[in-house]
Amino acid sequence: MGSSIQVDDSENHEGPAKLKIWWFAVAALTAGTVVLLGLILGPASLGIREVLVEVLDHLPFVETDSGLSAREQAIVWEIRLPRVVLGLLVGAMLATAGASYQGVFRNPLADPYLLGVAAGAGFGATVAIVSGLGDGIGTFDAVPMFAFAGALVAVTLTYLVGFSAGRSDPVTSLVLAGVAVASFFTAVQTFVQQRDSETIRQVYFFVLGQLRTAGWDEVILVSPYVGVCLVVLLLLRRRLDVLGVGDEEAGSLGVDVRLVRLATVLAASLGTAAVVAVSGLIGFVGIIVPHTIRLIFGFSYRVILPLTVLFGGAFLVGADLVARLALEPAEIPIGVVTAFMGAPFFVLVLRTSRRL
Amino acid sequence: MEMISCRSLRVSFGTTEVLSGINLEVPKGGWTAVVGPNGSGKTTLLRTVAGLQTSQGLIQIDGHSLGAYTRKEIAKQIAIVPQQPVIPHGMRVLDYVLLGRTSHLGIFETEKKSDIEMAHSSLDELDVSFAEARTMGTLSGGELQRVVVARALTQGSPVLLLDEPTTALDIGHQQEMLEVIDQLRYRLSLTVLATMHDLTLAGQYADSLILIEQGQVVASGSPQEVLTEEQITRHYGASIKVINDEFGPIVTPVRRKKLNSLE
Repeated sequence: MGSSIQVDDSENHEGPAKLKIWWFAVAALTAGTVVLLGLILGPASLGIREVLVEVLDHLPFVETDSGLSAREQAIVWEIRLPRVVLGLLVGAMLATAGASYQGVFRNPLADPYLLGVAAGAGFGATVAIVSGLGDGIGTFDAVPMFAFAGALVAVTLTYLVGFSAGRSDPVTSLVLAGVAVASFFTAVQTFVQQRDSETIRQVYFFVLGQLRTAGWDEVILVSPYVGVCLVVLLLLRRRLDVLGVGDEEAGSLGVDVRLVRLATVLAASLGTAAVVAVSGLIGFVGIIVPHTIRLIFGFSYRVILPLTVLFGGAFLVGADLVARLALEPAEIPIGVVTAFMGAPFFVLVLRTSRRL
Repeated sequence: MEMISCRSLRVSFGTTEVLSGINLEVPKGGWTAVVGPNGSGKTTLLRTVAGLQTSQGLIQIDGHSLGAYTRKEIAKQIAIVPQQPVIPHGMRVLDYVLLGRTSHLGIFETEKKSDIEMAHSSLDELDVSFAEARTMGTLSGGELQRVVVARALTQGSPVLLLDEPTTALDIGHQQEMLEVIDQLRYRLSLTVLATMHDLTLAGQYADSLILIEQGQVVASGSPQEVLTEEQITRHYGASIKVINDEFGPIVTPVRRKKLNSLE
């Protein structure tokens, strides 16, 4: 571990910061390994070879037989794969949104929930649950719809308040507006929830986050948002590096700072709202993944963002694996696992990194 | 031909007028220093010329009104070295200098080979190539100042604005920095507008000076015309002596009275 953190700066002294192929390969391999583990591990243990052959069989032009029974095939395709894919999407989106927020606000503590997405989604979900509109499963369920709407309303409100307030320091006023809006939505959410103690457990599960109810429906629901938002954020990665010198200097270098900030916040918030709607409020991913990557691979967003997409997805799939296996057959809320595994690992990286 | 031309420039912060009708002209290839006491509006003037501050009045760069340009077009005309640049500590020096190419790249584009060569040559010009793989946080004050100027140079803009380019430097590094800027000015035909604290250095390097006080130009012209004992005493409230040197007046503080320690 220690040796991989000590990246030698001198080896790439003639070119600008860019993603090295082998870094990308390591990230892709990590994600691939975790996905495979996600498919084979569970109450019904399946063989690596059979699962690999089964996956290959579904590729175009490949005809083979994995030897898995119809029931085992259903476990792979209808239960484990959608959950793993959802984990990849949610993890990638939360981590990338966190990294982008950190860049655009120049604040290491910025996370995807900074502008009130979580509080808004929590409020929306609570309203849906309390009013009996949703049972928490399915595409046309009210909970994700209400959560998504709540998240968007909260972020929009934050943006409107933040921009009408601060002319001289828009970054700080936006963050403070986020604090105010989040507190407000949390207060209303708690109030609504307290009025109906029957559903507290359901609300509680949403707040802690889960990938448990995942089927292909959720994947289909979020993937267009996640796809578009990730592409926009990745395309803006050089501009995020320029914002590192502050608004005024970035402006003097030719960047339309307001436009870049608006596009980044819009993409990060929309993507986060979409994944939060189906997975609940999984915490910590948006902070820990980008910072770990920064400490290991360097500070340029051209490197950080692509790696964050892959490692963010891998991290969440890994955390979900622990969540469902550690106390089998009971499941630990995934938010507990991300923080429980993430925090010590982060401390380790922090202590061994030579970049701070 | 004027490269920078300002007419009745006014800037207000709320109800406070910071610049009240400044006229300024810098010829192509010239070096004009803006001098004046603390709080006279020097930095605001520089930021306004760079298009970073909303103002009333007319600013023309190479005969074109600044207001008609986009941010990107302004950056291609004007590079600015701030007095206290924001330093991203974890960023490598080469990446930092390459930020200067931003205005030449499309929003989704990355640096081409020619951009990277330009960054290398700017680092060479300022003698800091040795530091290109280091991170910004590891540089000394003098190195940092050179790297920031290298970034401005990499912009490839014909106008260079410098806000107190020597404040963080010791006397030797101050002279070295100003010599480098003067050489670059001749070699690359840059037009330089710099705010300067040190009146002697201002007089020895710039070919014309404007002295501003409370947002107004109170004297302008050659160093000999502006840096007189009478004017400096009046506008700075300082007691000084001016010695004439072949490269420009030397302004030095002198003490006129001494307290008796027993009194």
